[in-house]
Parts: sequence; structure tokens; C-alpha cells
Amino acid sequence: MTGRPADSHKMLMEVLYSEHHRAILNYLYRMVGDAARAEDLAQEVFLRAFRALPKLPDAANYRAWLYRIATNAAYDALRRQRLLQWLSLRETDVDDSSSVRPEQVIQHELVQEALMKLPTTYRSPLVLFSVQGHTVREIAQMLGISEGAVKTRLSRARELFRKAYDHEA
Amino acid sequence: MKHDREFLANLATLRELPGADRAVVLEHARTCPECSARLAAYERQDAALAALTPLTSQSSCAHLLDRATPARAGRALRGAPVFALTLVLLLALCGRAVAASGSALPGEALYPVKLGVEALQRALTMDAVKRTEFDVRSEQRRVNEARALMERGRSQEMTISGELVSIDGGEWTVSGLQVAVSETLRAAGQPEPGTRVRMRIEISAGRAWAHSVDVVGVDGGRDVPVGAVETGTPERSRSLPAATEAVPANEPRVGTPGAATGSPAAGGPMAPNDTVTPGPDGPSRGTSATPSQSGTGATVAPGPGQAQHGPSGDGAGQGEGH
Repeated sequence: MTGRPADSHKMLMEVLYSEHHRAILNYLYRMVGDAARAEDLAQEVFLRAFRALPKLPDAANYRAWLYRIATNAAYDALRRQRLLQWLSLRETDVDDSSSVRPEQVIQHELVQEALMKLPTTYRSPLVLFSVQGHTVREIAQMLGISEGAVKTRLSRARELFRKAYDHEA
Repeated sequence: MKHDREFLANLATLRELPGADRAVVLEHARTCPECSARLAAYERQDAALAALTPLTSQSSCAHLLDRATPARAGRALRGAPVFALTLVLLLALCGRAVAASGSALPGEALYPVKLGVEALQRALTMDAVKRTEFDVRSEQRRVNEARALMERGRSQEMTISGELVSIDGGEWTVSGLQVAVSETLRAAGQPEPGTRVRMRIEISAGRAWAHSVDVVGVDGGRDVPVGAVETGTPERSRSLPAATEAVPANEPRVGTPGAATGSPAAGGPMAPNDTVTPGPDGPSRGTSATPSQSGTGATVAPGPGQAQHGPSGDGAGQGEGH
């Protein structure tokens, strides 16, 4: 627990929001496969974070903490929706695809559909590693697991994705 | 090289490996088709995943903080739709049960709901004329239910009320419904056609059999018993030994110490406050008698609505044989 005054919480939250909101939103988007749902979840993540901020130590790893909240939020949402395996980007994606060629849209759909076929425990490290470019150490902090576990999950995730993507393609 | 878990993990996270380790893995992949294929696939994966179009958000932190500030109110408001939905579902379920009870017949699970709804409707009908109309409709509804039970071949006891339209020996017609009335009952007393009666009947084998008959008056729209004829034996049991119908006037009643009863003049016109006892061969299932405990079947305790304790309330001379 810190002695930060309430106003400083708001300022800190504004900083965290500007630095991490977009990344968290995209992480959630790749996790749940639905832009509107990801937007709602991102709001929920930062709302939860803002309420928990007074209890957080000053030296906390804010990014890892936010990703952990986001991962839990995504897991909860997916559990509620029974993984939304039927979801397709065609129905839900609200990307600004006006600048994207049709074949690229199709390609993105295939990638997302393959991602959605992965169990969430494998999907999250793969998104964090390959989509967002985080290191194994960072992912370990974000997911609250060991680096060895991250590497093992990544290895498994890559094989599962390979099969799913080949199947989709 | 051994393709153990650690090696495969290194293959999956090649970009993280220190230079020397990375060189070893790449060297192996040059000679191992399986690892070479994996590496190529992972490279394509990374390219495809990294090329995904990122989302852009319209939301702002200020909006979020606005939402966060009235946290309690927000939580309460989030609960409100759930509560409202639950209430609507509950009402809908109740509504469906009430609606479904409309066609329920005696003996069915929803029939008490139907009666409850009717009682509520009657209680809410303040106008005396409308209330009387309601009672007439209710009477007819009971008769229709009896008919429906007969058509379906069910066995069920129930009570009907209405005008005694005609008497043709053992066949009495009450509000258009033919009811078989036993000799025992007929011997006890016979109301005139046109009299209002309330009958406890048993539907069985597609027919209605009388268990007991109350002559009723109307008080404030409600039937009020003013006399009774009763038996525990439907007419279809007529082949059983004849009932002992009368109780000696000086024999005390079970359950009513000191009281005495008797039988009306057999076959004579039934008068208000008349009481007849049931025979020994059947239980008294009507509303106005309990089974004899004397073993003779000759004595009964008065039931609710029976003449001995009729609504007049004075009790003087009631229940006595005439």
C-alpha cells in the first residue's frame, strides 16, 4: 500500500492508460477475437486497475500487472462465452480495413481463426510473443509463471497454431 | 541432436537465444529436415501474427475515470438490469403458470392455482351484481370440469353447485349435469326441482355419482347450506347391504357429546336442517360427515356446513330428527 494521494492515482492511471491501453486492447482482441468485446474488456481492465491502484506498491511492474489483469479478464470472458470458437472476424472485426487489401483481410481472418482454436493457456503466450513482441521474461511476469513454463507453452502453442493455420489455409 | 523438450522450446523461441546457442540450433536445422520445417513454419507464423491489423480505440482515460468515480452507484446500476430481468422472468413464469392453470381439471397440479386465481378475482369484484355473475360462471365452470373428467374417463371427487333442474328416479340433473343419486340418499330426503343444491360427487367410469347433497340458500352471493343429505356410498354400490340410515333420536353423537340426531321422514320433502347419517359400507367423504366410530355406521359427527351447525348459529334444535 502506498501513501499516494487520490489525485496522484488519477495521474498515474492516465500515464498507464496512455502507455499501455492500445497494447492491452490488442492483446485482448487477439485473445477474444472480437473488437467490441475487447474494447469492453480493456475498459474493465483499466477500471479494475484503477480501483486496485492504491493497494499496489510503488515499485510494482505496472505493465506486467496490467497484462495479468487483462489475461484474467480474457479468460473469464472466454469461459463465459465457451471460447467463442464460432466467432469469425467477418462478423466482429471492426478494424479499419479500408486501407487493407481484400486478400489481406482474408489472411487476417485465417490467422485469427487459427488463434481462436488454441487453448487460452497457449494463446496468450503466443500473442504476447509473436504479435506483441514481448520477451520470454516479460511474458513470465505478465502471466505469473516461470520462464521455462513460458518456453514450453510457446513451443506447444506454435505446433498447435501450425496445425490450425495449415488447416484453415 | 536430441529433440527433447528443451531443444523444442529453444526452437520456438529462437530469437531469444544467445548467439552461441542460436548457432547450434541453426546448424542442426540445416541437417535436420524436421527442425528445418519447424523453423520455417515458425517464421511464417511470426510474420502472419505480426502483420495482424492493430485495433485503434475511441475510448479515453477521462471517460474511464468518470466511470470509476461513482463506483458504488455503478455497481448498483449494473445490478439493476439483472434484478429487473429476474423479476420479469419470475412474473412471466407465474403468468405462464396462471395461464396454464386456466384449463386445469380437478386432481391436476395446477388446479389449486386455478381456484386461487378465481378466489382472488372474486375478492376483487366489488360490485354485487358482477360478483353474482362471477359465481354463476364459476358454477358452470365446475360442471364443465366434471364433464371433461367424465369424457376423459378419470376418477375424481369434486363439488358442484347449481339448480336442481329435474329428478328422474336415481338420475338428478344439476345445472345440466346428470348425477346418479343412491337410494340411500333419495330415501333421506328429496329436494324439489328448482332448489339450489351443492353436491359432493365422484366422477368414475364416465359417470357422476352423488356422495352427499346439501340444500343451499344464497347469502350475499355465496351458497349457504341449509340442509343436507349424505351418504358414503355411491349408487354403484347399491348392491351392498343397505345402510342403517337413521340414528335413534336419543343416541349421542360421536364428537358431539350430549347432542342427538335422527333421520328425516324417508322419502319426504327435504327440509332445511335435515340430517341423515351414512351407511356403514362406505366412508363418508363428503364435506358434511365423518365416518362412524361406533361400528354400526349409525352415528356421525357433523361436518362443516352441516345442518347441526348451520350458519344460523343458534344450534337450537338443529341436527335433531324430525
